[in-house]
Amino acid sequence: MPTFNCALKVLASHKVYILVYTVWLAFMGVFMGLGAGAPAADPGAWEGEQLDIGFVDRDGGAVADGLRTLLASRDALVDVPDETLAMQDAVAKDEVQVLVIVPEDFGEDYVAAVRAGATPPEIEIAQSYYDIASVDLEAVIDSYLSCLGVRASFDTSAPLEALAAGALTDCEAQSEASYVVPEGVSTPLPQNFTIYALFTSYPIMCSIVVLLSTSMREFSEGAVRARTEASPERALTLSLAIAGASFVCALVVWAVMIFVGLVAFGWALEGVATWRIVLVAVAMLAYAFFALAVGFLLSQLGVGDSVANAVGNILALVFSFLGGSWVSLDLLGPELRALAHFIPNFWEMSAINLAAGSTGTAAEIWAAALPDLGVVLLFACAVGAVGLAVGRARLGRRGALSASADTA
Amino acid sequence: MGTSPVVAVRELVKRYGDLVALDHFDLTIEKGEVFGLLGPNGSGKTTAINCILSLLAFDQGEIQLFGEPMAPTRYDLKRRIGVVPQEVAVVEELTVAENIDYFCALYVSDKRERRALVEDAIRFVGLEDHRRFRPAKLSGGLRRRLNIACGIAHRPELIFLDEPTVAVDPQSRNRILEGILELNRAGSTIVYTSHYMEEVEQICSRIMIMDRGRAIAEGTNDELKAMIGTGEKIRVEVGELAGGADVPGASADALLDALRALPHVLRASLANGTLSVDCATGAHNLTDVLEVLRARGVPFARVYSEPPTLNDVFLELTGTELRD
Repeated sequence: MPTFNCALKVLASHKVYILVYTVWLAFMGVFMGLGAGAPAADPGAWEGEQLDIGFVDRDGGAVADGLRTLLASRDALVDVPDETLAMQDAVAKDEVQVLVIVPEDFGEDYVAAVRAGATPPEIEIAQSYYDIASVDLEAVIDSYLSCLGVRASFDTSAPLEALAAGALTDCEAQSEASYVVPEGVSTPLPQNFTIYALFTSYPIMCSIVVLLSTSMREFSEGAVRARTEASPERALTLSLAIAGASFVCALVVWAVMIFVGLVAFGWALEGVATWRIVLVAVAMLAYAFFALAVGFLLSQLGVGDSVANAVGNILALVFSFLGGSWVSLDLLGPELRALAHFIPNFWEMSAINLAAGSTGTAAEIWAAALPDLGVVLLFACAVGAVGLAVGRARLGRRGALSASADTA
Repeated sequence: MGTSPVVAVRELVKRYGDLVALDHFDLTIEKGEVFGLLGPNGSGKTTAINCILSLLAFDQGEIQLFGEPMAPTRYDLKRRIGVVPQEVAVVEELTVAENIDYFCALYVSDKRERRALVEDAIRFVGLEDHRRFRPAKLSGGLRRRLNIACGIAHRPELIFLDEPTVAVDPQSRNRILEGILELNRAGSTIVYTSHYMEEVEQICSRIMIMDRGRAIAEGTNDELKAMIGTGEKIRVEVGELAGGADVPGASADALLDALRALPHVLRASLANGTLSVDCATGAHNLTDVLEVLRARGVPFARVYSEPPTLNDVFLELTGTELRD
């Protein structure tokens, strides 16, 4: 207990870190969320929201034209040059919320695949940071392609132009229905809160890693550790006390993030199912445990304050970026998209996105999100285990060093 | 149980690969002693203490504290011990009072009792005006005092002080040494390691000299000095003789040869204008030496005659200086 209290005092003494990494960054997340515009908590408002869509037509055929016409009837189409940098720029600057890229020969390949019973090609949809807004857009595109596929299957000799025109007509006729939120499906989370929740991965990682690695290293190595080991306090009690204080630190940072989010966006969360908010909170908590494991590892490595700050910030930035919290993974190359699966942030984001926008019952979405949360916790366990191994190795080495220094 | 030594170490061996840190090391410390472990850096003092405290595993031997076998899980024995490590071991984020309270709380759970002990410890080391300071704000000497307070606040029966005065100003050093004697008078047995022989001579009732992991001599200050042949050290400032040749009949070599020929003279040397003559115990060593100087017309300024130090003991026993 004395070590637990002492560790908490040490943690609380790092007021600057708490102020900068926890409080200030949480508010930064609020600003980013507020910048995302009005929430889409009400299904009616959600339906009516208009997106700026960057439409890149590499096909140049009738199918792409039909899709362009359909999208233009409900959203604003923005010209974006067909260059990687230009497309990334447009999304990063929020000039478009979604990029729709129709691949070369898409129309012909799609119809041919449908008629042959093969897997048809897909239209690339690159979502911006505000990806929740594009959920219904995907449904519209899917609907168009479905209509196209049905017509192509039934009329195997019809030309592309006729199929595309027919699909467009079908879609326009059923467009009203496509926006109806099915009964029993709850309202999705508002964009601003979702963006805030995604952003919190950065302050959570920064705060916990920096606080733990700077505060706990004193207890895990050096003369203070030797002094406590020489005391009648049991080794297990000491370790549990330090682990408990670290756990409290992670919980407090997580609670601050949740509290700030709920206070800032409470007005937008009215009508949203509680289980969606709880799922977001649980995803953030799982990520906080991962940050706890990283902080523990760094404290076992005995890094100094500046290294802890540098590592905490860099890790938080890299993880947030590669995990897809800040930039849609659709905008990244296939290698980076593959790499993202090895970043816990990716799985946290996946769970938050499920909570934010997926249609389905609470049970279905929780069931879909639990594996994601499990992966985050597995990452935490793996890093924590490495921390334990490093701690043991350093403990043995320290004993050898202190004695060899004495006997040198 | 009542007659058991407070510390009993038998045949302790600690190896690091090929390096033998402690080589069949024996140690017995009785209740109420201020026991000095003296030796140069690297002689095995800290290793011995770490093994005794179960902070280090050892390869062979037996350690008993208060008549009981010591082990890492002997929390009952650890409760009776205080440790002041060589490195200042305090939590930098806590204040002076909080640090002492934390380390004291590892031994004493009762809050009220602890509050009194912490206050006593603060008073004892003279940090009353600094109780709200963080360690980083303290001078080196005050940090050392805090380090001591953290180790003794719970009033242990046995206190290990590992080089507590390293890099400390003379004022703080004297205060620390006085404090150690006060602790001893209050009933604590003290184990004090240092490579400063003056300190060990000043406060320790019994001394062990260590070198290369072995105890090479043990006894009281006088007993140790009696082990060597040197009974008196004579130092004479001879000024320009250091330059050598221009004093008639007083070349350095001739003078040293004449001195070495005297009975009782064990060694004679000349360096930096000071003539050093080590003699065996004798009734008139000083007058004999001065007679030689007068006879050869060597002018001299100041003359000192002093008993041998522990450094001389170490030098004679090991052939090297204690401070090497």
